Amino acid sequence: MQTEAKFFNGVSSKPIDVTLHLLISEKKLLIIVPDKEELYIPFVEINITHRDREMMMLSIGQPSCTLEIRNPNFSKIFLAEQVNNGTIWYHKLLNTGWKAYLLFASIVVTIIAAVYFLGIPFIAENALTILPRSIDKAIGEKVFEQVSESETIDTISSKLLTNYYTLLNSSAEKKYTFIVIKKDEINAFALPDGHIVIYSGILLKIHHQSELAGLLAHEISHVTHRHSMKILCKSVAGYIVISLLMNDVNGIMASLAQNANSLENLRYSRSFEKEADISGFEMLHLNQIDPHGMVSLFQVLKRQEKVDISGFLRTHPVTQDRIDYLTAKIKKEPYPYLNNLQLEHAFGVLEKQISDQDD
Amino acid sequence: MELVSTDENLSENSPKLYSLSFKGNGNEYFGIVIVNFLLTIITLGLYYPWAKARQLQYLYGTTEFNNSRFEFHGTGKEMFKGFIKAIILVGILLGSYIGLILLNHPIFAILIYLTGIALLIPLAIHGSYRYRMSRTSWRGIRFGYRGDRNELMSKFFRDLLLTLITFGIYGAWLSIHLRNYVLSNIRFGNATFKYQGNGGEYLGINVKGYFLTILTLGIYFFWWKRELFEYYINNLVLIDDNKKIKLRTTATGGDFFQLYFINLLIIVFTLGIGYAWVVARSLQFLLSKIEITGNVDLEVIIQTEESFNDATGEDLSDMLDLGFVI
Repeated sequence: MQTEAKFFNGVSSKPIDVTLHLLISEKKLLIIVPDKEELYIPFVEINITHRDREMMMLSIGQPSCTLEIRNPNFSKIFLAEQVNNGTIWYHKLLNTGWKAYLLFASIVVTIIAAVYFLGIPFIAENALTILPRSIDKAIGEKVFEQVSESETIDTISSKLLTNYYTLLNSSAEKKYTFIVIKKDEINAFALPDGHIVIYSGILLKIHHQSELAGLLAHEISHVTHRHSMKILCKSVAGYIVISLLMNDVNGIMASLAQNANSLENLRYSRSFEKEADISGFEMLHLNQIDPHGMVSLFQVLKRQEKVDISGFLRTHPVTQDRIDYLTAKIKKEPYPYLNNLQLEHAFGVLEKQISDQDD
Repeated sequence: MELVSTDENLSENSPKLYSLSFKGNGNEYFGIVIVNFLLTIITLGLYYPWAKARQLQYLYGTTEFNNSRFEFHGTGKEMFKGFIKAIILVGILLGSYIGLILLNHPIFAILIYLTGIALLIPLAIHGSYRYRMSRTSWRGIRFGYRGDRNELMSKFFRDLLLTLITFGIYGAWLSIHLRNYVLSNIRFGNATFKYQGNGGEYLGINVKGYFLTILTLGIYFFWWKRELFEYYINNLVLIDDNKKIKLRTTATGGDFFQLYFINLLIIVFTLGIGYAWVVARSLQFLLSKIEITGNVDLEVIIQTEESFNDATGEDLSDMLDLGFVI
């Protein structure tokens, strides 16, 4: 097998027309420079720096000489013979054609999906067992600092709320700090360090102590299950994986992927809301508090929903769903509860304080 | 004999037209991208440097200038070593940042972090140009970068300071000064590149582009892109003794509109899988819109540049997402 080629000697850019002979049995390439010299180059010293349909380029030695070969047939045979070259498997992989490419593409997609939907939640859950509680504390404190800078804390009501909780759950350790924020907003949240923040807006809507018990039980369950830390771990892990995968791809796809990621995080946090409802219910059971309070709390919240946003885009499960599964649970696991007069009293004081302030 | 040599002299001095084109295609490039992607994923990312070498080899190898292709000689192994060093550098920086945050010195931590990044940027530019250029050749003649690291650093920090003082306005001069310095230190054998941009002109193009883009509800964006491309291309020359090669672009705003619009359609409708075709058609378009004329004889370029195999800067600029000008 022989072919014409252009040879560059690595000293000057002047092209030299040469003839190449493939010496297959000797595993050498013979370069014949007309009227000058004959070079025998072992295949192992030759690097294929490029190959496409038209052109193959070979580089030899240091300082490198270059060969430009425009003979696809020759290139094909050379490639097949150059088995000693460590990169031959790669060229074989490249030459597998469209069906294989489609297979590769689907393998890639499957791996990505598996990592994303199974791997990341797994990592997030396990990262959490390694992360010490002191991190929850540090993060919670930082967030609380910001909250207390921008919001007005109602210290009297906060104290009354704490009072109520001590009566509700006397066995609990004193690791929760209850904060009432003076703001007409129906909202409550738990920080990972045990700060339970309740807005006065939601307290105004609560008229029975068991409803308040349900709210606190739900929020405390978020802390005991470390939900916000799980969400944090998952969104960080998701972000890292996506930015690694999307490194090469342009901005549009990257931002599509990021948005898909936040949607997925939303779904993830909705499952936590349900978990908090269920274990809140168990906490009420343990303290023999009327579980119907939780249901009526959701009924109150439901009445407040002016616009009905579809369940998919909301962080919390649709309120009707929550009412339904809690009612079912109460029916399935009934337990006796007491009318706790001390709690009634503590709640009454708090309720009065809140409504007085509102006027 | 006499006659022939005068003929040669004549043709040597009269300006010639050189050809530049991209011979690759999306189908071939897609094969490379998808194989690389698969290998990168199943090796948990460790294959990345090799994947990058393959992709660069293909893109350089399919770029044809006056009937000869460019060659990229960098290897995955070199870039992997650089990758490890770059990871260590970035790791030290991030480590000290997180450490200081945990020790409750947030301001100090941010200061260290920003200073570290500012130090890494010129290091990455210097290192990546040295590596990339020495690993690039055409007709067996290597490119080279002869810039001085300390000189680049001092220019960068002076301009960075001025940029901070002027609330970012001097940033236009910063980027043009860097471009002037870096590109003017690139050699192709015994020939030298020269880039002569001006911060004021660059700022003018961007201010005009920004406001007209807003006023025209985005339509001017493509003309702005064209003007920037023109500014990058038309101010670049290759000098060999007293001979020159000049570059000029013939692209129009309409061309850019078409390029971006179709790229967008490809990306959106293939959910990103069409990325390889976008790269191929963009290169094909951009290179076909560059007109190169001059009187440099491309057959007498002499090898002068040494080879250099430390890819730390290359990988570092990858991590900092700096991109590459040439």
